[in-house]
Amino acid sequence: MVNSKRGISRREMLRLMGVGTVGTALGSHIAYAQSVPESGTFRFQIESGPGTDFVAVVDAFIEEHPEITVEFSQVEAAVVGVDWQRIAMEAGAVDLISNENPKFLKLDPVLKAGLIQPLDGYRDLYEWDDWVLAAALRRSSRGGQLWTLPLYYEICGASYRKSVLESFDVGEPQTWEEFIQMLEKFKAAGLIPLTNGHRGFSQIQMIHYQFWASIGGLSGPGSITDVIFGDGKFTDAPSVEAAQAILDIYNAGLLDPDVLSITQDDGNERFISGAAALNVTGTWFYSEMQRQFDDDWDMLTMPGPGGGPIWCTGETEAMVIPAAAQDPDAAALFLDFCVKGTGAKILLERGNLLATKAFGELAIPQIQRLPIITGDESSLLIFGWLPQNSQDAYQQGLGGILAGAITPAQWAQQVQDAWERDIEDGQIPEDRSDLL
Amino acid sequence: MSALASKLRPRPLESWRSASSKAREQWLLALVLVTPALIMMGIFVFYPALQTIGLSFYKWDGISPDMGNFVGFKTFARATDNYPFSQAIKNSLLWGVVGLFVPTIIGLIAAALVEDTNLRPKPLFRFAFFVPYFFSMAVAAALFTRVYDPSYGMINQVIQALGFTDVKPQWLGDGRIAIYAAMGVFVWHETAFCYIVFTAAIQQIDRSLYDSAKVDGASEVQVFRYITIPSVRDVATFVMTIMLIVGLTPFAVVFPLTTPGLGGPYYSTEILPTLIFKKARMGYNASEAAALGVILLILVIGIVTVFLWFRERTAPKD
Repeated sequence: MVNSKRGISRREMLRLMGVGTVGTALGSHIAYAQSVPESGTFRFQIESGPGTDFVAVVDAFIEEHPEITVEFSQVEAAVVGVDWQRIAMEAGAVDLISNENPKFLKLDPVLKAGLIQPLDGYRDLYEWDDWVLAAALRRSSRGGQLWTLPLYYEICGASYRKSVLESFDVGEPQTWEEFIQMLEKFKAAGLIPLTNGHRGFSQIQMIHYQFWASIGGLSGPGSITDVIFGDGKFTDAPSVEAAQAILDIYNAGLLDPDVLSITQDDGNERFISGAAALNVTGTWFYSEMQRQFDDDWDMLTMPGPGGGPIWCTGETEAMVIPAAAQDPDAAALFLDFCVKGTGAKILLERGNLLATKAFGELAIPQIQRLPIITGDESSLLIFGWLPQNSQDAYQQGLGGILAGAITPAQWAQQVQDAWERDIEDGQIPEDRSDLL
Repeated sequence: MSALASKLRPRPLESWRSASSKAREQWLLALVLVTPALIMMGIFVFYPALQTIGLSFYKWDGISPDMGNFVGFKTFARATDNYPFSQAIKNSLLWGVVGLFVPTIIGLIAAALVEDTNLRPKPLFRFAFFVPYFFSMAVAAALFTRVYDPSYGMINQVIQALGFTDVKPQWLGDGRIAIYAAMGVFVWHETAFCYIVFTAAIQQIDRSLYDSAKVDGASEVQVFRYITIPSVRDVATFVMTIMLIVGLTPFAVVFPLTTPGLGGPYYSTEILPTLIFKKARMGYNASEAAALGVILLILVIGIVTVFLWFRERTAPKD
């Protein structure tokens, strides 16, 4: 085994990075010499949901690389808490861990704390630029260095049964008017037109992304991109109009009347049982739909007032190698296995939307049509880009709008205030333009 | 002064020199007995509490190796200058009031009904009233997420079965009633504790008092008012103090009912502990979490002190 990590303490790392300032940290360059290991052992940890897919990947990896030992464990995040990855990294308990996504909520705190090491050496060694989507690499970088490697993309939308849409003689709506007409047909037939769970983790925000993307477009003033990476504000018209559109469909009885009381799982149950025609969810629900309905399902993205359908995408299952990793080379070899090796194939076959171009032709039709595969442009899936204050204001406020506690304009102002507060607190890099 | 307060009042410490050898032995024994507990409390209560107080004056994210800068009371100003905080204070006080009175009163009445009346079979009622305490608070709250389901939950099913087909409360989704739904779980669970303590206290009352009252023609209500209540007054102080503290910090109920959109919908169930959790565990803002923790500590100590002072002041004279 060639264990080539140069030792670096967290304190050293912090000094190099500058206390509490990601921006300062990003300029520093930390030398790690990376190579393909001849043997080794690495400890890999991931949340139990996606972890089930990785059982097969790890088995295949061990078969192809008997010289490497994998100590694989899955974590029930709901039990151990939201910051289990940080704790595992701090404890030096893992060599590879899924840090969920490469966004401000998850990546920047562990980067600021000096808990992870850059992956640029492995990026060159394994030529990931030829395989991993450019946007995924760009958004996983800070200060010109790659800190995490997203293996998947996730896309939100409204899932539906093909047979249900056929029975109502409707297709995927291309305009707001068509969308409303479709929901009204469902309602008239006694179905819940569009179900969604707000209690717990609010999925109302996913309706909002979709309407906002549709109204505000892919880029420019008022778009999601402009707010997250530029100078735009949550109080800009498209964001507020999107919130108003949610309220309108709720008041018209086109959104599940129980939305504020039910969870995402409850919404899924209503959709699977046939009580609801559309279910706000995302690509993470694909394998379940495939299991339930064979091929009789797909997902659409909902157009907002005045706009067309625009998908919202985000990187996820972003793997990091902790600074305290004992065998980063072995961990990186496994990462490469998931980027262009058999691991990628296995993950793809299981319905995941990969952040790599490998085996794209093998994807199921519902995946083939998505922008990651087709190369079409898409908007941002916001979750993860908002740190806690902003996320809390965003989620709680959308529920507050439907409950009549606040107006869409008041909600937007509260989210903007929280966003600015997060910037002041150093939770968000002030200059975010290089993530575009 | 009440008998309990009299017993609890610390006696003046005799000087070590003038104390008899027996008194010295008693003091040494006492010291030996309390030392392990003091050490444990020092490690697990006082030291973390002092550390939290210290942390509240710094700006620290909770994960960086260095503690950050000393910022004085700025952290407190930042932690309190927002809507979720004001909502949390309001809700915490409401929880305190409900915790203080509701489970205590229901528990006392239930205990008196079972012990002081001819209700039979008593073991069955005792078991039934104590059953909620078999569950932990968090498990009870998790169970009630199903009970409160607007479409399939037990409560709304009963309402529908009674013919109120248009009435479909969104127990956990309506910000106007969600906090009361959460309090319902709390009361259901904590009444069991109050019940069992009051049952034990009532069983200690001299039964001849009840017999005499009945011979004198006292009604059940009069017996409860003039014999049971005065007899369990000290126990009631203990129970109410515990309920007040638990009521001010009902994290175990709110967390399962609302997580991960903790404190929702729209901050209607927000309490100081949920804010602390969000700042510390989800928001990488350990300093503000510490500041809120200090505020909660002051709130709990302050309210409990006022309550005990009031109880002392209104205690019947010997």
